[in-house]
Amino acid sequence: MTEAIRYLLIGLTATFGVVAGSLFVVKAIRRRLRGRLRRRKNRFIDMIGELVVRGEWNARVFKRYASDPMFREVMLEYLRMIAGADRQHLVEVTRGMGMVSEYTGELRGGDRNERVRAAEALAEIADPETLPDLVFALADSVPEVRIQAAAALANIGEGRAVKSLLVALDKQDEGSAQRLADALYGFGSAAVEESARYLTGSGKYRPLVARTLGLIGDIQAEDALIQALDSTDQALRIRAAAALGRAGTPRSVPYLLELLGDDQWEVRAQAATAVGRRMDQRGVPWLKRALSDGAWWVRHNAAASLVEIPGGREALRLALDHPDPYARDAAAAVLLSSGMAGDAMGDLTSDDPLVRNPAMDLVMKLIRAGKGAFFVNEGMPPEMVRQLHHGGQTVR
Amino acid sequence: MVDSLIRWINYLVLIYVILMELQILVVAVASFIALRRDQFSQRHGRIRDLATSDTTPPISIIIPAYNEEAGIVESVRSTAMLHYPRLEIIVVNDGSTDLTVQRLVEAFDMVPIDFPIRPAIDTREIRRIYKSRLPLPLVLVDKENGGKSDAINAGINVSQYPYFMATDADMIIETDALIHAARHFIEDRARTVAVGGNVRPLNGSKVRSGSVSEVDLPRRPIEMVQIVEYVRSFLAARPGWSAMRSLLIVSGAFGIFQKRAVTEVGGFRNDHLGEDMEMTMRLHRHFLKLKQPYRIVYAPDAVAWTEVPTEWRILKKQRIRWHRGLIQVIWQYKGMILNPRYRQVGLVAWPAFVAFEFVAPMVEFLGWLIVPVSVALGYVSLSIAVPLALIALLLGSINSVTSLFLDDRFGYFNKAGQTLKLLFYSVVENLGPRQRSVWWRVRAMFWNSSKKVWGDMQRAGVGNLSVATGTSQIESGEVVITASSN
Repeated sequence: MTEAIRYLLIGLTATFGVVAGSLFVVKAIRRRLRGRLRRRKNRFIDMIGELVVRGEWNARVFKRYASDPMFREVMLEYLRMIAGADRQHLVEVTRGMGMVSEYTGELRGGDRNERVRAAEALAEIADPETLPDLVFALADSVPEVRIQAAAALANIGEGRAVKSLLVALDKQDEGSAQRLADALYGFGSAAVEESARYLTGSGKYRPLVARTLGLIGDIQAEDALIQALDSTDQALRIRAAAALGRAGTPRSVPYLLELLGDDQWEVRAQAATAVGRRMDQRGVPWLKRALSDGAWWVRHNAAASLVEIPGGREALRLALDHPDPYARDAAAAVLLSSGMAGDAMGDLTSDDPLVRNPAMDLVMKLIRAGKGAFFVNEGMPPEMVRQLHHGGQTVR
Repeated sequence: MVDSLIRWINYLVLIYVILMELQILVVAVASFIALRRDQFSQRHGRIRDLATSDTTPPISIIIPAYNEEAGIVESVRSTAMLHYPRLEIIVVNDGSTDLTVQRLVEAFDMVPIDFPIRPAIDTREIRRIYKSRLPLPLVLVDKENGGKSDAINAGINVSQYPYFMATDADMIIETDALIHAARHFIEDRARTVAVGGNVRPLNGSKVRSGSVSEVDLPRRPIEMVQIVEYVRSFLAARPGWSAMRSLLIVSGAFGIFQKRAVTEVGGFRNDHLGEDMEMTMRLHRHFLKLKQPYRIVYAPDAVAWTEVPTEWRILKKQRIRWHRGLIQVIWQYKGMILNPRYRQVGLVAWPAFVAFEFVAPMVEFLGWLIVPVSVALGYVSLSIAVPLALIALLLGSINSVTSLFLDDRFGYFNKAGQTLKLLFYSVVENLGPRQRSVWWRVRAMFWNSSKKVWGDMQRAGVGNLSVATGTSQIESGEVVITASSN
């Protein structure tokens, strides 16, 4: 037993020594290596920068350091930073150095780390000739490779890759699908036609594509988005409504107004916001009606949208006399948060009765709607708030 | 007979200690594998793109505050600087008796608004809600005092977004921490119900404009010991348990939760000292009972910094409170221990936690009593007792150093002096501080004071450390936190 304990003790001491020593060595190496690598990197940054400025694209130095990982890293950083003809020259240089073919080879046959590094590098190079390899990588088993490949395709920006991206989209897990949809945004208008077609199909991630179309903001997608408003998929209706709010034309407004009668409150709430974004006066009566919606979010969004629409602010003021207390409350809350109430309070001291009287009217109505505390906090004497209140309710 | 019994107790204590340290080592290995996998995603998953992506889920940041006038404004400013596409900041004033509300109202031009609330969880009455008129998504909830959990629940009721983060007013969250945490929700939106972040001690580091500008080690032994402890807990244990789908604590200082899941289980409980662990266990129990797929994960790169106690007196109170909280949770969820219905949580993680967190102080304490007595009475020879103690010391030290290896991914503390200091405290931590901590935990089992809903630790606030502590130094606009508690 004693012998066993002794051996255990020796073993543990040795283990501790090894682990502690290794930690010390690893940190020391990192310390030294970091400085050396930084110096080396700076040298390459200066070297390549000088060649780029001089336009010396055939310099021997590119071939000399072609296989140096640090040199390649700096090349990729330059590709990220520069644009136009210089960038094009540098892409050709990377081709000449054999970097592109090497990376495409790794992308198709390397191990996990090589594939992801290759995809990252190709995303920086963005050479249209690598497009087939990147499309191939969209089916990679490692999500990070697929995400990098999609980013590379977006950087290249050629519309012919969009269809492949959308086909690949349906095979992704949720997390990767979101990232691929983000990449789709990178294509800009080149992605619209195929994406709109996808939207009218039965794709698994149509809500994500609808969102992307809204972000791109191209009106070519309007028909497909309007069609998506009829979908049975609630998420798609919400995303399509939001997209039309960003990217629609006046033509989409009646469809959005119709959506204010949707069964789902989340859809109605989104539709109310979208109508506000379109700033179309036709929305005013519909939004006024939505102030009495059963869902708070719909009422709130409708009131917030009225602030944005010409003529909507007046409708909000009038809503303070609405028979429905919920409508009054929604209107009053937005009048407060939009700064209109504060402005009205300031106007109370105006010498001009045309300014003072409407302001007084608004303040009184807001106080009656239970917003007296706001004015007290803004410095109005509580006694004055009580006087303006008239109706005998207590000031909240 | 007595001779044999005492000898066997000695051996049992030794076996227990070895088993405990081995368990820590096994989890550390699992953590190593999980961290490697996570690092791959971090490096190559274009995580930073998420900061500008529209798909990143919006998050409500809830900051419960009680008498935080010293630092609440800086805390909100620091939070507002986070790189995140959509977030709202909700400060919940839990009936402070100081000027917390006034400070916020003045600093951020806040006005009372009539804010309709959907009370998903019962809380103490909300007196008033303020909103900032600045272009800042800031809401202040002024409510009656009800404790930290009650304040978080009120924040949940007021929050707009589907996810919320509960944090402390004195935390400094790294600017990209939310992105790192949100990645897990994006990857698996349907199943992910909670993501825990990595909390690191701030002591010794330099703070500039509400963020950590230089990471360094503190001077005091008490702070150094806690640095080693935090690294061990957050990097050697949590990633491993998370990979085994058995993460039992999502830190209350930095945890992001799916709002629906938390309201489904009734919100945070106010009668618990360890409300973060209690919530995590409740989520496990809820979803495992319903046989619904879910994920509670740990995000090592989601880093937040906090001040740790600089006085033994404060540390003692904190540790006793933590252990009381642990006992409460164990008692409440005792039915999950070795219950196959709760799968890996009930069969592995929870029993291991009970065996090596709850029982450990008692066994270790027994060991210190019995070993010297045995030696004094001649039942065990010194030539056996000393090596046994050394074995326990070495196992603990190996575990700490292994944790430091895992911490190496962050690239902090690379100077030779810093490494030596950390190695030194990895050993020294087992010679005194550990024994002291065990004694506190033993006391916690019998300690029965009134319920404390807010921690005892007084903090100076991120922006006012130099003013309030008297021992901090200002160096060209930077604040070095050397002694922040009193």
